[in-house]
Amino acid sequence: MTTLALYSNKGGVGKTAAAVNLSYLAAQGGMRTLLVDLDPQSAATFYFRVKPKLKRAARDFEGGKSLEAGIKATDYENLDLLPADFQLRNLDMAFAERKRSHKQLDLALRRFRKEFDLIVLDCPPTINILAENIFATADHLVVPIIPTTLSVRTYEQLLAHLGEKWLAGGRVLGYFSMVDARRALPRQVMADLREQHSGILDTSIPYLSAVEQMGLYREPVPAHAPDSPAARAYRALWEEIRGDVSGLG
Amino acid sequence: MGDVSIRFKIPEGVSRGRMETLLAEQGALLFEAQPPQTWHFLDTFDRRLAAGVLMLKWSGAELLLCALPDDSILHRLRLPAPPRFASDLPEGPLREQLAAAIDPRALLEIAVVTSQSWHYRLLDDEAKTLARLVHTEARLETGEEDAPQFSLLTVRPLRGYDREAARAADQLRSELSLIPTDDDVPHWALDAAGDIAGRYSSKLDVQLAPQMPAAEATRLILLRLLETMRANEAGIKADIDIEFLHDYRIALRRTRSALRQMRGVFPRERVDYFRGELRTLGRMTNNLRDLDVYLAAEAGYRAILPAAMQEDITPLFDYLRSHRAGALAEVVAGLESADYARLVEEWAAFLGEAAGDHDPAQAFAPIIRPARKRIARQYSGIVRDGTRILERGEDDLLHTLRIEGKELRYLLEFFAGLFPPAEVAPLIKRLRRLQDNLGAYTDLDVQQAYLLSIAEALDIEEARARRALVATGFLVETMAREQRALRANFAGAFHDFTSPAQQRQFTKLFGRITGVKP
Ligand SMILES: Nc1ncnc2c1ncn2[C@@H]1O[C@H](COP(=O)(O)OP(=O)(O)O)[C@@H](O)[C@H]1O
Ligand SMILES: [Mg+2]
Repeated sequence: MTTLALYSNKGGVGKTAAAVNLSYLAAQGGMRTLLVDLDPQSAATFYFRVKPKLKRAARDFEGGKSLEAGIKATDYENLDLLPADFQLRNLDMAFAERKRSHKQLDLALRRFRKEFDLIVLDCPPTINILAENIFATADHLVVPIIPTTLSVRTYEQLLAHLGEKWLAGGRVLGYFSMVDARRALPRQVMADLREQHSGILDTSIPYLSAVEQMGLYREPVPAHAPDSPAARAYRALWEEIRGDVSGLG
Repeated sequence: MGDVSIRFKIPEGVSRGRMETLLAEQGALLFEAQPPQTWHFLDTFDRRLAAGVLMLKWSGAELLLCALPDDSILHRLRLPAPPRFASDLPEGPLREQLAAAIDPRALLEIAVVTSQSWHYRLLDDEAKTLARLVHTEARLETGEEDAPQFSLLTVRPLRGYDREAARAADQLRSELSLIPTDDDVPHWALDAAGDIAGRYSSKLDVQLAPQMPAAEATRLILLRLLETMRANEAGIKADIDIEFLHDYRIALRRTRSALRQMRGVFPRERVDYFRGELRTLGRMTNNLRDLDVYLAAEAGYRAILPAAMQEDITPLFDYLRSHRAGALAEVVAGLESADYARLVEEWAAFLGEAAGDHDPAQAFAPIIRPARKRIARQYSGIVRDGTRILERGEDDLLHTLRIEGKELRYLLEFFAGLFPPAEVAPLIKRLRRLQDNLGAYTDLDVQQAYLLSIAEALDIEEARARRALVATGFLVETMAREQRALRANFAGAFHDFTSPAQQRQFTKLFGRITGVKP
């Protein structure tokens, strides 16, 4: 079982779009996949037309037992969803109160190791205890980077925070997201960053309206428009990740 | 998990068109109509796959091995023609699992089913799927106008939506007057086909009561054995696989054994007549069975030989192969002869008779009495002969002991229903261990003699034949060595079966053990 976290401490960079599309592609390929929506804004849950129940208490994360009851099948083979039923602030506080506070998420998700081949975490932009929990449970962080100077700076801050161990293990997979290929500046930024860091994937996700419209048709892009450039881009990204990460078949 | 399908049989006479309308009225959305597909379900004559909770089906292009009862796919393989034997398949996990389940039996087509499915979804107000529905229509391809048909509606709950699925199932059920069922298409098909073809089992499952008159009970056993013999005739003649003859011969051997053991319950001259005829019948099949056994063992023999000699025994097996067609023709001719038809008719008539004045008094004794007596006697003989082998080294008695053991095994099977199974089972287990040892030992004896006799028939002027002789020598030497190891284990297996505790148990169940030193 492999856990991938779509993580960035910035919002609006394409985490949820990637989490939804990549987990769909993994499931299509035959992996039993669970997408965990950790973001109280519940965008991933919305894309799969699942109605979130916001009343669930954060203490449910303990041991994960009742998490299991919360799992919903999506409309797609092999793909289940754990909806965003939690108040993020509550989750943070609940984790903080416990011993081994940064291991709580890992403990809760442990029970799914047998049942699923892949767990994809769609993370909110967070840097506090929830983030430490995400780092503790994810095998790899998949980090979308918008090719602007500011975003790149944020990415480098993240790498600095994570430290040598993560980098040496190739556990951070950055990729460029929402790329406007017509503009020269992003190209320069991308080239520079690739020069300095080896962990950046070759595949980028362009800025494409098909992705933007996911909120309208509420389906993964490759399900809605399998031959679109957007679907092709996510497929290429998934193939590259599969090639770089062990245990993805 | 919430993965258990809810299944309903759709009442006969409700057409596909009608279902289409009814489902649309219930708000189900048609997602996918699958084209009709024909499946050929394969299993052995005695349904070994079904017994192993497996199912094998061929689509015309692909072979699927599935696990029952949920039909989950274990292995799949592209294949242009259905296999007859496991050995027809390319090496791999499917062949391995299939071979373990059916060898040496052949696969028969037990049902051909054409089915077509329509996939629906029930959606909520945001167009999220709450449950999947599948309407399936299936028809058994019997070539007849009124072939069995099956129309099924399956409600497949999605994880996290069990309540919604149950509600939908309830509603559909009452609106469409559906009948809940556990069946699905494969199970229905196998059942429906089974109804047509009849079921075969070589098991002796005769229900006897202890107070049943002995002749009547014995006739029941013998009738069941006759059925088994007759059920195998067609397969022997069509040469489908070697197990038909094997089962036939076992039933025949059991018949002869029962007749010998229970001879006191029938008029003497009738018993003598049938015993003679049945012995001749058995002999008629010996040659073919020997050839079957040795040819089936060819790969095993080769594996014993050093690499440099493995090809050398080919002339031996070519010789056997060249004789098999003739041996089969002889058996087929025997089974198709007027003599055989007359014997079967006489035998069936005899078994159909009711006991009368001309019968000995023993015919009317309760079966439990001769059953106990015969088993006790048989066991006594085994104790006596085995002791002689061990104490006086009379190894030629090992063959006799094996036959006595077999006979005891048959007796315990005939009369299994008369004794508490929990008490008999441990005895049978120990007996089986002894028989395994004796069987392996005496088989090796027989095989050595057989191989040497075939080797004698080869033309020694040929270089190939000379090499075959050397290889035969090697095989015989290996077998002799293996035999010595088996002989060393005999004492343990025998003591285990005849220990004082075992003897007490036999005495308790079947009566006194006679002629044995305390
Ligand atoms: N490659 C893209 N091209 C165009 N729009 C995108 C692309 N990726 C994401 N978006 C849009 O940008 C917004 C933020 O994306 P989202 O995946 O929700 O980011 P995050 O999860 O990082 O906050 C959404 O409206 C989404 O539809
Ligand atoms: Mg998001």
